[in-house]
Amino acid sequence: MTQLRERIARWVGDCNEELREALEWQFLTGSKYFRPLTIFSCYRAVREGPIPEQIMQSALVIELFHNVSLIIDDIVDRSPMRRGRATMHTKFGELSALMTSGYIVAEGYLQLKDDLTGIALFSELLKRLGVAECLQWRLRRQPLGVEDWRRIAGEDTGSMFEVCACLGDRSGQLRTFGGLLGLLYHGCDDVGDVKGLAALGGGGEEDLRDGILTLPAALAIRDPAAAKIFCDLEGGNLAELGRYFVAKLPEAEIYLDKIAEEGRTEARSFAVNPAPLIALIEQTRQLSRY
Amino acid sequence: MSNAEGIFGSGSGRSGHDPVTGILIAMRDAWLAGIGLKENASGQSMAGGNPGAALPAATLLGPMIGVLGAMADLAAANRQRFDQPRAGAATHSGGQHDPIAADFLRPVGQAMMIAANRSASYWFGLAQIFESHHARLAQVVGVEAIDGSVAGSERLFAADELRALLREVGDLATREARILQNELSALDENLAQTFQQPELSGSYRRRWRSKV
Repeated sequence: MTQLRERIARWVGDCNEELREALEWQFLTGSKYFRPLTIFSCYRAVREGPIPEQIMQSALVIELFHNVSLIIDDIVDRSPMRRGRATMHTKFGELSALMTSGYIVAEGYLQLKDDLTGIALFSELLKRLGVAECLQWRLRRQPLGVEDWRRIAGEDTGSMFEVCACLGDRSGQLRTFGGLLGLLYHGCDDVGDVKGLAALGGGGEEDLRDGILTLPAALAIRDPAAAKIFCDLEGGNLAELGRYFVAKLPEAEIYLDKIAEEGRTEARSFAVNPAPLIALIEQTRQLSRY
Repeated sequence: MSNAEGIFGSGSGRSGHDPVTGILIAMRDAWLAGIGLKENASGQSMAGGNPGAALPAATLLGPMIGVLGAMADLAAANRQRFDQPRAGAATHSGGQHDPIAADFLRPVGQAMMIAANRSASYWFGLAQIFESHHARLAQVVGVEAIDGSVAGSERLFAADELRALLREVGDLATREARILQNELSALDENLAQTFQQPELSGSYRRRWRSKV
């Protein structure tokens, strides 16, 4: 991870000086590097020996693309803060944030050089993330169920971790594991937000305000009274809706335990060495338990 | 008796028959129940909808449980058969060991064991999935059948539950198929290495490995 951090710092140092300050702001503090860790763990789950150059390169690029998704999310959600500091668009303006995003994507592809599998996987990721965000936005304030949440989350965070797994193992064996890990991460994020946690870098007010289908929301709106507030185009009584969500947290935690178990089963079935993958599951599962 | 016995009891097609007969009887019962349900639903829509006429929906669950149980029994019986030591499998009629026959028979036996294990695992998995959902589904179907009083939110909940069941069944089939493919690939690789010609050298020698 130290190598990766140094590599990112070098990359930022080599970028155009017009954007360097914004890139330093975005990249040089606060990241948990969980996606690169997923790539490394998936590599370790199927092979031994030192991390090869191609895998290290993939880890750098996933961190670049992940940050693009954060910058865009923050603009769309009108979030002023992330990881305890101002978001890029708040600090440098929307134009800079959007142009920097484009610059990062182009740089990411350049970094991949002749890694054709990596290029295909990152293209899949960007396409799926775009579709997932539009889907999630179109389906807000709808009386949908847990299966719908699972589908949206699977395309959103799920696709990110599916691609991480494929970049790490390079055979597709761990793709489903990656999808489950992403689903778990997304669900823990949803639950953590309702608990009012900053552990995952954001609050849940935006999702509540925008009528986004989170896991606690999908469980809570089985109650017609909660569904009525949730689907109210005027926004309704958000404090009351929040209480319905809080009441469903134990059920949401049980559902997350079930996803975690699916992930463990997948790891045990398809990894030569499942230990690093099971460690990822445990680490992710803790995110909603602070 | 299979592990599924605890879940299913001795329902349709599972009372003292051999596994193959049991499965045929259970499938017949499920098929007849399905036909009955379909005809009932058609009659109901033609008659303008009579909630009470939906009662046979609940009776479909019994035969479905029977089919799953019978399949689990069949898979368990197969696994038992393949797990037994195959004494004399690689010997001539005179009792002499034949190394060439053993080279081929061993992997064939392993492949059959792999297939039987996967089959058993699939049916047990299916039984567990069905067990985890059927109480809730039967409850909703039963209430709807008796007085048609299931509220809109309950219907959405039941639909969500049914969708979860369908997804889990699909996921299970995919996972078991992937494991089967992996295990057979490993066997295939092993066979390829065993029969690799030692005199081949240089660029003719087999160097690749399957993606296991």
